[in-house]
Amino acid sequence: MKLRTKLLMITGTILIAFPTADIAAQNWPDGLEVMERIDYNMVSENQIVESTMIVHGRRSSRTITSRGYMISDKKSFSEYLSPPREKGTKMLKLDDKLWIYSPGTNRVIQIAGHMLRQSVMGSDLSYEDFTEAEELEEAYDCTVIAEETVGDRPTLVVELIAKRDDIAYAKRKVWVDSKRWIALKEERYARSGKLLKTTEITEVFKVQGRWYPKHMIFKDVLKKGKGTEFIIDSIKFDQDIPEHLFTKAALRK
Amino acid sequence: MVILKLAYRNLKGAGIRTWLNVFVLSLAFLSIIYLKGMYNGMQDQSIRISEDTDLGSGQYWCEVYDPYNPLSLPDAHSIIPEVFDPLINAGVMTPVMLYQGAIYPDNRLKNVMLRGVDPKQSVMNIPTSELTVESNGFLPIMLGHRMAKSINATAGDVFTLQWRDGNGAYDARDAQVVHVMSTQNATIDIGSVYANLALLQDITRLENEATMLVVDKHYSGELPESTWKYQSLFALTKSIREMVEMKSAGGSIMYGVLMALALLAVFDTQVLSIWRRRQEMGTLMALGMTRVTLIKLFTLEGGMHGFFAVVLATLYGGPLLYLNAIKGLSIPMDMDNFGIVLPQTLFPAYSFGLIVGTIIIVLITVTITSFIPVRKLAKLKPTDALRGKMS
Repeated sequence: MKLRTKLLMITGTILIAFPTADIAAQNWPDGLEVMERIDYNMVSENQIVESTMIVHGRRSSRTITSRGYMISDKKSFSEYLSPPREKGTKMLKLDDKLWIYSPGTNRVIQIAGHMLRQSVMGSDLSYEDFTEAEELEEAYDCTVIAEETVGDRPTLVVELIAKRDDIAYAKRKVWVDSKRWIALKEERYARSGKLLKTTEITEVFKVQGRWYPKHMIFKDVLKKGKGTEFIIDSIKFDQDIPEHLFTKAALRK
Repeated sequence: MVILKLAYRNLKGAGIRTWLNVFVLSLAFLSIIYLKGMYNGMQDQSIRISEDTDLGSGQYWCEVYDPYNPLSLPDAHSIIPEVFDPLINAGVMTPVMLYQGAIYPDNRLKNVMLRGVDPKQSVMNIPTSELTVESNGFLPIMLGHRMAKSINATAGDVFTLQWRDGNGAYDARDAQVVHVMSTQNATIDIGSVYANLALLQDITRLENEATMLVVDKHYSGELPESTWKYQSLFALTKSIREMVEMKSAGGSIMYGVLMALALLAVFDTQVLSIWRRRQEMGTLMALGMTRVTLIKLFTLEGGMHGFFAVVLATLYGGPLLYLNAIKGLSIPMDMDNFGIVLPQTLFPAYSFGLIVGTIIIVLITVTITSFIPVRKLAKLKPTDALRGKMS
């Protein structure tokens, strides 16, 4: 085969494999770097969050407020403050285990098996969503695949492909604000490629020098409805949280 | 023999009082047989249906599977031991995989138990061959009629099926209902979605794994030893027997009350007889009848109520019970949604032991009830009795 023919074939292969838009991708930051920049905003030693969750039902909406204490992604303790029906309900997460305390029955129940798929307080979030403990960079290969605008914000689209077979979502796509380094949208996919869940961040705010989501909408795409709104009322980073809070005994107190 | 004739004549002489007592007693007697027969029939049919559609003559469970522990279900599957291959290939044993998943009919979440079955199997009497139907690229699934009704689905409907595979990764695909089966066994219907075992193994990445092996009900050969635990039909139907036993115990309160009412009537009659027939008793004793014979006579009179009740119950109740045993009793559809195996038409089972046992119980209780008021005759003085006095 002549050299000219060989060069043409190689060029053709490159053009098919890497279309022109992707050639420009060489200027995009590395996916891992993008995720690390998000972590700079999101990850802290610990957090105390007061939040409001608005669950949109078929006929009406319910507003639930809670206070949560978190140490990294591994430990969290949350207590529902209102409405009166849910007040006093507490949830404890230690790694991938989850317990819930209901004051009505005065019992601590471990959420496992089928129950993990149940929705939390009727929202679009399942208990399983709470039990994910692994950091995204550890679990996924992150690649920036495009540049898009979400609302009026420029974003980088990061595709996350699971490194191992035991990761809950085989693929995720995250739209990251390329100026503030905060995720504005996320899509989670099943192994078959079917879209399962979306998260949309419609408002962000700056607290202790970090950009943080203020208003989010979670949506289980397979389910009907408007999704679940999640509003961060206040957040404090790196606080002094007593360790005894992250025990089953604390649920009954 | 004399006291037997005397007792019969006295009873006949009492007229309507005797026949009312006998009728009430026969009602109680029939109720006991009817209710007991119903419970026996329920147990027999439930076990037969379970054996036919689900349990076979027994099951082998994988090491982790425990149906009473929901926490065991996510891990309740393992590779089918090779030792079972000859029996599986011979068609006397079929693997079943139970796997947790969720469906979204009409975009609403419903947790389900995916039941992976071999479409070619003939061990369980369910139409698994329908799972081989082509479904336009969708996952072919089959539902029981109760399940289909609860999610408002019909054959041909498509909805999303979601699960976490053997490694824990989420997966979802659109599934099509290829068949809605009608089954009397609610436990394999409510909350269950049937899929082709090979397909389920593939999509969950659990190749050659299963949760249990069902043994054909007609198979009586050797069963191999394995790490999988064998559960006999007797062990598997323990819950059915316990449930029927519990219901039977509850029902016994009702026929206990009926029986008590009937016995109260007999007791009252005896007390009244003794009071009204004081002079007759005195005369009999004056004529040479001993106290013991007198007690026997009155006890026999009371006891004969039981005998007549049995005869009367046989006359009018026999045909009724026979008709009931032939036609059965239709159970309303909403009752079999309790999640237990209940046939749609319940046929009572009146065994010989049940009938004879009930007759003996009725006769003994009536005789004892008749004897209690008669005991005081042991102290009766003939002179007092002749004067109409009762000490």
